[in-house]
This record gives sequence, C-alpha cells and structure tokens, in this order.
Amino acid sequence: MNALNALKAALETPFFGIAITVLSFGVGRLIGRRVRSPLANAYVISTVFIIAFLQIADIPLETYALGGDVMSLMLVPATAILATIVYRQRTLLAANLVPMIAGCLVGAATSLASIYFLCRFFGIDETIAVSLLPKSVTNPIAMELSTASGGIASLTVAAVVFTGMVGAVCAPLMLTLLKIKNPVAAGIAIGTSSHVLGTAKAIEIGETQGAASGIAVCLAGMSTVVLYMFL
Amino acid sequence: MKITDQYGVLFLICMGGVFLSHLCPFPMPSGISSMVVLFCLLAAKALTLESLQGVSDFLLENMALFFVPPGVGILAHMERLRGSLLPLIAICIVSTLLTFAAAAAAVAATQKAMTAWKKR
Repeated sequence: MNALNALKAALETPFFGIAITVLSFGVGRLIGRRVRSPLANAYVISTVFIIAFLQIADIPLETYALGGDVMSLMLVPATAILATIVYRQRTLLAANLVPMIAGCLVGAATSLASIYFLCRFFGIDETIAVSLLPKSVTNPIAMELSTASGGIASLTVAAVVFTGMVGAVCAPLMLTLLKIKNPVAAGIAIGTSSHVLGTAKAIEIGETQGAASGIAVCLAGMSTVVLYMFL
Repeated sequence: MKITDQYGVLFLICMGGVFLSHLCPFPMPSGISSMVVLFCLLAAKALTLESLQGVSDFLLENMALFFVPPGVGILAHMERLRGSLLPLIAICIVSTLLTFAAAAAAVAATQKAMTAWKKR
C-alpha cells in the first residue's frame, strides 16, 4: 500500500506530464520519419498515445495538466520566434510585399467567412463554431484568438492540426488542379491555408515556395488578428 | 550568446510583448506583439539571427511539442463533440481548400494589376 501511495505522489508532480509528453513526442518523431505520411506526424502520435494512456491507466486529466501547463508556458516565445523566419526572408518579402499581404488578407477573410457559413449551415453550436474560426492560422495565434472569444482551446488546437494535415496532403494536387505556376502564389496559398504543417510540404516543393509559405504563416496570423477586430 | 542568455533575452522580449498587448486598445495576442518586438529588434540590428540561433532552432524544430498538452485537453470535451464530428471534419476540409484557392488567386491578381499599372 505504501508503494502505491508513493507512486501516486510521483504522478502528482509536473514531472509526469512533461516526461510523457516529451518522450511520446520523441517516439512519434521516430515513427514519423519511417512512415513519411503527414498523418503519422509526431504531434498526432504523441497526443493520441497520451489520451489512450490516461484513459487506460485511469489518470485524471488534471494530473497530466500539472506538467502540461508548465509546457504551455513556451507558447508565447514559440510565436515570437516566428519573427526570425520573416526576417530571414526579408528580401523576398520586400520584393513581393503588396501581393503577399493581399493574398494573406484575402485568404484569412475567406477562411473566416467559409467557416462561419459552414457552421451555420450544419447548425454547429456557438462555442464549437468560435473554436473552429481561427483554425487556418498557426497554433499559438489560433489558441489565443479562440480563448479570447470564448472558444475551447483544445478543440482549436485539434482543428488547426487537422487543417495542417489536409493542406499538406492536398497542396501538390491543388497546385496542379488550379494551374498555379507562380512560386510566390503557391507558397502564400499553402502557408495561409495550412500554416506550419503546410510550410513543411512547401519547402519540399521548392525553396521560394517554402520561404513564401513561412512568410504567409506570419502574415496570415496577423491578418486574422486584424480581421478579428471587425467581428 | 550563451544559450541561457538567449532564453533570457527571448523571455524579456515576451514580457515586452505582453506589456504592449495590455496597452493595445483592441484584443492583441501577446504572441503577435512579441513577434513584432523581436522583428523590430532584428531590423534595428540590436539583435542578429546568429545571436539567437540556439533558441530559435530549438523552438522552430520542436514547435509542435508545445501543443501536445492543449491537444490532450480535448479529452474533457469528448462528449460534446461526439455528435458533430463528421460535419466538423467536412468544414475543416472545405474551408482549407477554399482558403488555398482564394489566397493564390489574390496573389496572382495583385501581381497582374501591379505589372499592368507599371506599364502605363
């Protein structure tokens, strides 16, 4: 009985949540490298594994959150560091500033409008709809916008990741289908619609596409913040 | 810079971002304002990309890791989502493809308009 209490005490520390997150993510990354499918990425594997583990071992979410909340501290620095991507590509940005801003603004507006009308069409309840609304932008920005407008942060995160996977899978097909030859247009379309996960694909397609997509992640995030002011 | 100094500087920048987001008259995510602060420091050459290399490589390579905890939090909302899972998936796919097409079209249209305007 003493050992059981000791084990419980060990679980009731932030160490548990941090260790299981970091280690399952590491295993997920290894699997992802082998399988090479956007559906088998480290994020999905790690999240699904932890959910299953908590359910099977009957560990409450609050116990996991002791460590999870510590890790969430890094969300703001992780967003801030995106500035280095834009700065690194400043010559490409300067040469295409107006078309890039136009593409990101129109893309962000299309995303918000299409989600809004689709949610109404399907009769999705308000809280869930608000959680979906910022799903095309990168996670730290989407989460903050979602919670500020009364959404469920974890649902937003799930929708953001799913959107990224859709974008990464469909991007090559969409480029052929829509006959997009211009590398800047291609990169902006990928980054605006499917943030960082799409950008990983854009980098595979080409250097300019990857750089433009990285810029679009930041510009689309900022455009969405601006558009939220009018909602 | 030493890696500890890099983290120290980045956390100071984030404090600056939070400070600005509270001063802002409209809702401004503190991540965005911190990003703007860092960009301005880079543009003003107060910081270089090399001096922040360690922390930026680490965060950019492991970005997704920090979203695992919020993702696991979806456990608390399973009951509520169960009924509307299929429409939610459909909404995500359709709106992503629409956004893709609209952004590409807007870039192409703007470039065309600009070259036409320059030729005049």
